Amino acid sequence: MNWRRFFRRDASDVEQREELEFYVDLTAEEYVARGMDPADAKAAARKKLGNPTLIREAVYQMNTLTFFEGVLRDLLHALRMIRTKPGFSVPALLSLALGIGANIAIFTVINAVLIRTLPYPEPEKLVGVFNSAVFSGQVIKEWPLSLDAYAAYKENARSFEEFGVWTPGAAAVTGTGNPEQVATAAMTHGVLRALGVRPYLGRWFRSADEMQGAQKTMILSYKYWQRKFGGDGGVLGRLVVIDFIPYRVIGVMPRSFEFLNLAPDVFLAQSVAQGAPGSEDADYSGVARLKPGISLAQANQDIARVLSIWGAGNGLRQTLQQLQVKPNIHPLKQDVVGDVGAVLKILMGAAGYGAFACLRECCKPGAGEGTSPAWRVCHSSRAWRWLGANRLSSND
Amino acid sequence: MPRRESPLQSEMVQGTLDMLILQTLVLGAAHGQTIAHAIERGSEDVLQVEHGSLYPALHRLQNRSWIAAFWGTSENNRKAKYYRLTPEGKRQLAAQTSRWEQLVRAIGRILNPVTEKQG
Repeated sequence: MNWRRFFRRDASDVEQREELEFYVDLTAEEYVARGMDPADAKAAARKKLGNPTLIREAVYQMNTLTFFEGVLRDLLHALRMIRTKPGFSVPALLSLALGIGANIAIFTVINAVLIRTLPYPEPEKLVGVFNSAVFSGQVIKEWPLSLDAYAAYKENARSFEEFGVWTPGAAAVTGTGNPEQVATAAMTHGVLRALGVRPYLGRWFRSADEMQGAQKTMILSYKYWQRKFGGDGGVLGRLVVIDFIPYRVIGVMPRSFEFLNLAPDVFLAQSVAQGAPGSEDADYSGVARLKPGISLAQANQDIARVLSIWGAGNGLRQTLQQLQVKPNIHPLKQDVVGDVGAVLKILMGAAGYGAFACLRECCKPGAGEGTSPAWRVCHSSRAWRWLGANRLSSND
Repeated sequence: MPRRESPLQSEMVQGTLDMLILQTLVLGAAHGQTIAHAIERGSEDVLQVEHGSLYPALHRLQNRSWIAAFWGTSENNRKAKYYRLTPEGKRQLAAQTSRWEQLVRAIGRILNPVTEKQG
């Protein structure tokens, strides 16, 4: 079967007509030769041929791509019905459009949040480091770390390749231009190393940056660098006054860098020595990169060991036991997504069902006036002509 | 001219016409009229070719590339569409002929069991 004949079937029809014409003339000539009257001969020849239109139709049918032709015809029929019944079609189309649009919007979020992996190298090795504790009968699953605990973990943990803690905040930038408030993330040097994203300019934080009395350092987000410094490459080494303390710019993160689910303008080096023993300000989130081959269970076990060492060291053992403090190390993705995942799934289901329900209503027999156009397109014309086409082409 | 109704015409086995057309074209290219005449005369007018099926059949064979068409000039100097057998058509003819002969022999055995035994 050659589909190209579909496009030249009109030319083929002209040829067919010519051929039949030739046949009639030739037969008439034969009849005349046998002694028939020329006028009668022509008529007799036509009679012998039969109905030429039927022949041409049969040939034309062979050159038809029944399926595509049918789809085209259904489409045109649907368009006509949409035009003739705007009272039904417009609300139907609008609700479909809204349903599909809502679905796409929600899916975009789901894709970003649930399906896409974290934008860091080997994201499956990244974990959030917290403790779980029980306060007066209530289980707190993500009790943050104190700087004291950070120091203990850093010292004793064996399952982390890199480990750091961070805390979000806000600060005032003064000194250059108008004062402004910026979103900050104060972090120890292990955080960016754990995430594994190198700065676009300059360097990562070092442990030296965290010393008491050392020059305070900061890394700019790409956006803030563009906004505040116009993307000036000479920004490294400049001093920026944050909450009246001068910070030296040591780096700029790349444009594509995302810090978990936050968008801080600047990253500040966290001074660790602040967390003198006894400081129990527990508001730091931990992030770590597991060593190769270390499972979550192994890491939790490891940190449980570290906790007991820490508790013995600072006399907190009793408190830790009372509060039933246990390590809670989980995939970092959970920190980023949180409980949004479940909510999103429900939302997507609802929107999906909405779109489906709209479609179903439109296709129901009797929707709109009399029989719904969509239903008619879906069922009647399609099915009948399908049968008809099969019957015709069965001769082929 | 009165139209002769052949008793065989309406019962012509499906696909037989195709085979007869192919056989006719073995002798050389011909146009539709000649093919019809050849079949009618060859069968001593037992088989009448219905033109309503001849031309669609020619078209069908062309689509299957068993025959090819070209425009030529007829005996009376008119432009006419001629058909010729393709190599593929020749193969098909051989296959169909042997299948037909098998069929005829099989039916013959049923209708004339005695003759068959004697022969």
